[in-house]
Amino acid sequence: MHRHDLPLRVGALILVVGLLAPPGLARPLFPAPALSQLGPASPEITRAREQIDDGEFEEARRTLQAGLDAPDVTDDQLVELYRLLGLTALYLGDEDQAREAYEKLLQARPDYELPRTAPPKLRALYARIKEDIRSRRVRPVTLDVDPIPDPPGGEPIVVEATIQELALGARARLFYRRAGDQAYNSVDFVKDRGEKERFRAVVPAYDVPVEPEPYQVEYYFEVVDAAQRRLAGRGDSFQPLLFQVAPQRSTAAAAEASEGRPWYKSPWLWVAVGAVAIGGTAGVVALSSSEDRGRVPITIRVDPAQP
Amino acid sequence: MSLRLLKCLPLAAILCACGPDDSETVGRFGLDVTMSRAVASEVHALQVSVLKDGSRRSCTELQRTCLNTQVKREDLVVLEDPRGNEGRALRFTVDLTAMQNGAGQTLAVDVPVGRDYALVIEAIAVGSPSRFLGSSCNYLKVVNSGDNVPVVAAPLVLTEQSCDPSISP
Repeated sequence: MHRHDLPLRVGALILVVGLLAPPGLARPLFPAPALSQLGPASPEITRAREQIDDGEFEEARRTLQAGLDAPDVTDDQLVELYRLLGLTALYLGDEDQAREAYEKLLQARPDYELPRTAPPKLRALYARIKEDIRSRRVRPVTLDVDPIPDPPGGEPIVVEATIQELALGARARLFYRRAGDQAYNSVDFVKDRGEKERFRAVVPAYDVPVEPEPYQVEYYFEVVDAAQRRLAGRGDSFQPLLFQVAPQRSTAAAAEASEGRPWYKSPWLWVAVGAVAIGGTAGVVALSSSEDRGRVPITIRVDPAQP
Repeated sequence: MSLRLLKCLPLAAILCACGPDDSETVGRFGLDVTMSRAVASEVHALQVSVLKDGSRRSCTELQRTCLNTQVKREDLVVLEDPRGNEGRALRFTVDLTAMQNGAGQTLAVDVPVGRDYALVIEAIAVGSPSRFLGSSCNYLKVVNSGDNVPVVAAPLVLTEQSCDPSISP
């Protein structure tokens, strides 16, 4: 045997052994995750994943329904629950339930795709459902909310709204800023536990403090989808609505009117005292320092028509 | 510089002084108040005051009589005139000759930048004590540090009352 033939022969041997090896040895080093092993976790999600991996699809469906009924489910968990429910329904051949689950999933994640490892039959069915959803008219979101009346200041402002057809992943928010400020703050509308379509947003008291002078706050309501597209709203950042926070004097009057407890225990009194102290200090500082002033020219004329 | 150019300098200076009256330019951005002839025949001075919380005031009520009988001193903001005099009310002597010739008179008050004011101009007759002839009350929504938006002022008509409109500075 010539020495230079040796590498050629070793290579051929490896190739033959490789071709004859049993399929178990040809597995990749890191196996692809099972279809269910993706996304966030909760006790129901973890159990449903195990049941799907074990082929217990009916049990998985019951677990997922229980997960959907559980309180305080996050948006991410909802997406994962619907994803697994769609998958389970497809395995069970329940196309209607799969369609319903994927519709909800696609509302929140319009770009969601099944993993490449999904069986071709499932992929074809999923593609059909997606196409049906895209071609169907989407019901518009409706936001019904009243303008905010002028608040007294120094206490939270609670805003109630009725929002219909709010898609999964969509957010309804109240944006507000003090007139003259550049940036808006925002608070989310949170679902009222009692009623399905009732939502509530709360502007914290520290953002609308009571002051010696009244001041205006600009605000607007907006519902956006998961891709931040505006679905509904009232007012906008360029044409906001307006409310005026009442000055400290009105608040003090409210304190005087309050009954049933000693005057010195009224929180309004102490809010007013605080505001007077702050306002007084600010006033002294403002008067002692060079104040920013604007000139108002006044022209006086005699009107010959008026006797 | 040639002698001919030097001779032209006085003429150029005179020509530069021509042009529209300055008061007309400012008048477009402030208050243009008209007063009745009855007030003009007696008025000696005009007293300007600015009230906080303008939207809570009723100008109709404020115009009925002296301002100092209806509001507290603390409700008035500190004003400044172009000569640097400060006070919660500023008095301007009326140039009656100019007024009766139809020329008008321009006043200027410096108001702290802010929102929601009411500006009150009271016509005062000479005497001891001074006498209230009438007033013009106007809402000032906002006072900016630059030019201010024009305000349609209420006319100043004779509403003579036996009160002394004086407000201490």
